[in-house]
Amino acid sequence: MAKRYLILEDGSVYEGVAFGAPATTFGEIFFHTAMTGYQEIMTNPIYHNQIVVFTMPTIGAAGINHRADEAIGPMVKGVVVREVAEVSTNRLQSMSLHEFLLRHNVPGISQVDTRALTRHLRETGSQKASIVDYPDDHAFDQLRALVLTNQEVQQTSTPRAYVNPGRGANIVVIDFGLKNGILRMLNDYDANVTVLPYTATLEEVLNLDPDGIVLSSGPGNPHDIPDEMLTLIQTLQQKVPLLGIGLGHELFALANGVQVEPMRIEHHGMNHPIREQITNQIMYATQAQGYQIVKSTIKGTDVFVTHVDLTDGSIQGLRHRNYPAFSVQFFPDTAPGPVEATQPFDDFMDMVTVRRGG
Amino acid sequence: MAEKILLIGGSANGFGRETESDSASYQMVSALLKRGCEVFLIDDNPDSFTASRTDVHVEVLDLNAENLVKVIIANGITGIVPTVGGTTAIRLAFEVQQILGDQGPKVYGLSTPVLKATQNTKYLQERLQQWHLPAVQTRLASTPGEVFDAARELEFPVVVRSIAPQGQALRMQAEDAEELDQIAEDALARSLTHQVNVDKSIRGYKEIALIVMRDFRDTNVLIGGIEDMDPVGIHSADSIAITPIQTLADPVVQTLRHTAFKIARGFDIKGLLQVRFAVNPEDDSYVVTRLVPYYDRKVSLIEGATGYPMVPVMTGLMLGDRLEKVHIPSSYAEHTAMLEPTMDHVVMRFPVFTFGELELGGIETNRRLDTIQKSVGATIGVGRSLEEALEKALRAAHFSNRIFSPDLMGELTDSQVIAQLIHPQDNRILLLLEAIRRGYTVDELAELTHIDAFFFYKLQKIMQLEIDVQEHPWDIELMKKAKYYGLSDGLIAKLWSSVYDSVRRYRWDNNVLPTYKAFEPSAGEFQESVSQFYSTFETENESERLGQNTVLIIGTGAFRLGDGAAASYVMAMVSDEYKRQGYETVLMNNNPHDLTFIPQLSDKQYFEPLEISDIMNVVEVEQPTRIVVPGNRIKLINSLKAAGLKVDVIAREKYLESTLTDPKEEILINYFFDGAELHPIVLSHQTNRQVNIETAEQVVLRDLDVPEMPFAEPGLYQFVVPKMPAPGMKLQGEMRPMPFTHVAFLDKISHVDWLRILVRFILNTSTPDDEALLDRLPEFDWPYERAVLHYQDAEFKEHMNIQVPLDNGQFAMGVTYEVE
Amino acid sequence: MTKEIVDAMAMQRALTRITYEIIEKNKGINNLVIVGIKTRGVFIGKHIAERLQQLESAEIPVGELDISSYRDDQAETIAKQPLDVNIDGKRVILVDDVLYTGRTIRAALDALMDNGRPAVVNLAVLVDRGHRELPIRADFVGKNIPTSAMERIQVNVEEVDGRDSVEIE
Repeated sequence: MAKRYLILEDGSVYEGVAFGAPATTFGEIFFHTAMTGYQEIMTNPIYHNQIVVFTMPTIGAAGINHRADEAIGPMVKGVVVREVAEVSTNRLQSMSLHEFLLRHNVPGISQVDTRALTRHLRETGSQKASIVDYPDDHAFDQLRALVLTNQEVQQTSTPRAYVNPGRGANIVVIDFGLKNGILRMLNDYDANVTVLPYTATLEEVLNLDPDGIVLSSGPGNPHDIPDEMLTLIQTLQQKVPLLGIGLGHELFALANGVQVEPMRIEHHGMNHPIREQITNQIMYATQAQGYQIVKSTIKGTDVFVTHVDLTDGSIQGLRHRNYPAFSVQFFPDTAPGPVEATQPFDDFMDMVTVRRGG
Repeated sequence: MAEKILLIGGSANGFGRETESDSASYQMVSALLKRGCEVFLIDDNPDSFTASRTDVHVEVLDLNAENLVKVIIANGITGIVPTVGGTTAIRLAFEVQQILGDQGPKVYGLSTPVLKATQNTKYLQERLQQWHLPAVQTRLASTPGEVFDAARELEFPVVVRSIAPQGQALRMQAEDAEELDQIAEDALARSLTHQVNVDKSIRGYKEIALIVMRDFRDTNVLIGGIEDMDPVGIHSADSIAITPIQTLADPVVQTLRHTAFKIARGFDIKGLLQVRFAVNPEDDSYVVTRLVPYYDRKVSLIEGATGYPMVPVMTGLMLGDRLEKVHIPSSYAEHTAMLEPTMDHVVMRFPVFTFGELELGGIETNRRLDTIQKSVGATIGVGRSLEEALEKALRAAHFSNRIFSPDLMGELTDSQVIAQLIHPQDNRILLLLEAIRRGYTVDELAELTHIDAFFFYKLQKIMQLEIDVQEHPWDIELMKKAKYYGLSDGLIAKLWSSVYDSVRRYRWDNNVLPTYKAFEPSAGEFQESVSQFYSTFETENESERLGQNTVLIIGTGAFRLGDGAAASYVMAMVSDEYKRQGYETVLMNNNPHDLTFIPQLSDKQYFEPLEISDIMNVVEVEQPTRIVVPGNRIKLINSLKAAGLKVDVIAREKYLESTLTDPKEEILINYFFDGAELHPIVLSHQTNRQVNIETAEQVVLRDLDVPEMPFAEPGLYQFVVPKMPAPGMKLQGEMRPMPFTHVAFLDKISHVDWLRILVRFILNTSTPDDEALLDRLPEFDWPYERAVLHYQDAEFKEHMNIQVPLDNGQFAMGVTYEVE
Repeated sequence: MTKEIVDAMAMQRALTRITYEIIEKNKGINNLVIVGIKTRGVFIGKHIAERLQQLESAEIPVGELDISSYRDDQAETIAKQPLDVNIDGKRVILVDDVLYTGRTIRAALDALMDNGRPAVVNLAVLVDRGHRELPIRADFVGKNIPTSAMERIQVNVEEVDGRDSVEIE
């Protein structure tokens, strides 16, 4: 098996062994602490162009099952693990992780001291990284020259509208890098879903006569989204029930005058205690968070805090004071992740039902 | 007024009852005292370490409901804790509740329904149905026709169980109609009521256990999950167990997690609950098979594996704390109790069987594994890969067991191999390796054994690695790979026909050195101050030398037959005393349930195998001032001494001839040896059933001849003589280290911690009180007139199907005692 | 036969939703007073007040309204119990467990008016089971449960009944 190297912008080098595609890759690196759900994580568009480090040391034993895809194929640019299962043995899975990555030209690197790497990244925060054949000056030069795109949403959002039909409520999803889990959840309510690109206009949305709006999760910096979207949200929240998720949550905040900033230590996992303020109950949910609400900017706006991460006090949910509109930073679609996190969908569909006069 | 809380002990150790509950009680007592509670303990197990605490009221009584009620009333007990005494405590708590009703004390942590559901499968199934959760499907039938109706409905295979059976309860499995024809009538006839239960068979399903915590406000946390390598059909304790779960996809794990929460909510659990599942690998459907609402071996495994403060949290929650506010020791990060632990290592629990020891003792056994537990102990292996964890667990479990030699496998015929694949025995991991060696494909093996093919690929990898290493002596790249996947220096030496010391030196010369990683519940996300480590061969080492004046204490490892619990007690006591004497203590052990792993007892712990090479690696990191070793590790002691290290030996009895099965009595004269002089403590009588001590008899010690002393180390020793000695008579007999079981018993009945005195003599720090006590011997103010230690061996018949009498001095795993 | 149709979790969620709707409708919690109709309406009202407090860190007064003397189905006269909170000029949320014919609510409104002059009165109920006999409508409904007039709906609250649930009989 070929030796390969993971190199970081700060000059660190980690030796490992190749799996997946034999390509060279670049991207922003982050670590994920979930012990299950590697396929869902790799295929989540929120991780578009990134390199994922799994802290779970054995990855791949459950194989790949296309029903668990969150997009068509992997979204990450590279996968870093300690041990990878070369074959899939699960009877319900169609291929191994290695085959999957090979097929989609994504390189992986195994036998890396991922614990050392995690402890390093915990101190430095996320940075640029590359998986290469040789950790020479040339490789580092190329890595340092890499400019991370601010076009993540453009690259992951659907270029044109499409319908995911159902017989229930009429829901419009605005796609900022939508993951399948959100559609799966809406399917469970038999919603008639129209997915619109992130460039949708107010007119396009209202022409669909929606009973509810979902602002999807997605990759990148919320400030890279054009201001027109914020105006659109400001208008829509007054007219129809609205749910923002992830990037959608950050945009909901921006639209309501709350500031958003990058986090030094990002959250990628499913084990943080999240408190629902209104009931004072703790729940767990999958988090994939690189930006956070600036707490001090909430005062004086029309939104209030509904959820808080108890490990660092970061805000995990907001709600509008005057309209049936709210948002969550975490993923409520359980793909992967805890079942109790689906509450926001129930709440949203309740609102939709109330609006429809049910 | 302070709460008066009674902990129900677990009584004698035995199959499925190692020292894990004692370890949990010890920690729980600390937590309760800190909250200002007054703590009582009822237990008749002399090996109980908790009962040696002076800050607890200990009641030495038979564990039955009547005694419990007496203790409750006499002491005005306000609450009882049934969660740290195994199944016995659960049953007793239920009985006490039946007797005292509303007048009784509060039962902490558990509701009456969950106590009931733990005892009564039918009730559990009813509750599960009520909550729309899947239980094992079962139908009642009283005619062969009804049996077939049930089988048609449930689909084959089915299991038929007679209700109220005459004789032994049997579970008969039918794969098809033909087999059912053969057993239906028979099973009905065996029933006194002419009724049978027909269950849908879950044989071959994966066994999964989840451990959750819940507070009264319905906050639920998943602490960990364990996957058994062996499928349903082999007792879970006899299975090789792995955490974290390896082969289940996220949606399945999430469904099980959610189900466990629903059950905890349904039963209003306050604290800990373990839910056992069987998962059908064909379609990921599952059933709930059992609830374990108390601290058991799986909980202890998860506590060790995750580094989660299990006992402090469960104590707080049972007393009504919210998870958000529960008090945990300050060494943990503030939010640790609320964080669902996530692991970046693999832990494997490997069962330890004793067929070998029994056979050496001339007792025939049937090595086949089934639904009744056969293993008596376990070891763990920790690593950053499954291969590494397995290699470490394997060598921790079998380093001293010659019968486990892989060479024996070569002698099996092909049909024997197939037979053992289908009907597994204790040595199946070696059998599986042998089968792979003989060219069975992974799919064939998975089909025959119902073990997930994933594990076979791992075994294949290990085997290939061993072959590669063997074929390329002194190949440094292969050595690096071998170390990376957990092969010991000893094994590599064997493969290279060399000796471990040369391999080790070669490894050093090539800078292939172990790195130690911390056990902590956040997988590196958060900074935690950690005292528990395991080794691997990677780039970053997290374990720095603890200090300039440390003692390294080597544990006694897995439970085997005989003195497992007592040995654990002895080493815990010794460890604690070194700490009191001002040393920083570093502990090394491989038994996840061992008392020495109680966090308060040492400053740093290594979960490692105890081969010489593993120990030397830790010695190099810690550079201890002294190393404490149980006396039976002669080779280790010699190697350490040869390396110029200071070794403190805790004298341990070697196997003596099996003489006890005769209906005769031995007289034991028990001494404390201070390194120069023998001090007689007590004279006892031993038979195969018990050890007796009569206070009135002790006058005989006054004028007794002093026997020859063949041992040099200070310690507790025992002179065995065939009959009662007379004053002045020359003593004829044999001197041996006092069996650990007797040491623990002696501590309990004399109210003296002899081991602490011993440690002080080893360290030359004995106090005037110590010396006065020894000088006064054999004059001693005995607190009791009579004390009896009872060997408990009844379980051997039930578990191992052994009918011949056993030498209890050697084999009995469990003891109880009484005092008058 | 009694059947649980809303479990404790669902009941908690319904109260949570009502709380959010109250905030939305009132544009905040200024000047808000909760008045619960005895017995179970009081406890439900308290749960809503607790939630408002968790969110806004402000205490909302909860009054207990005894309407036995106002009911048109009571033959004998019962002494009127004065309300223990001030409702003059306040935005009152009247809370009851079940909305059925509307007669209870009418009585409650009479009682409220006897106790002061609120700015606005909104009605919140945990269950609306239909069969109205008066032109009364709830502003906040936890759960719409269509029922037959033959059926009995029982709302259980932890403080009174030892558990939270809605049962149908």
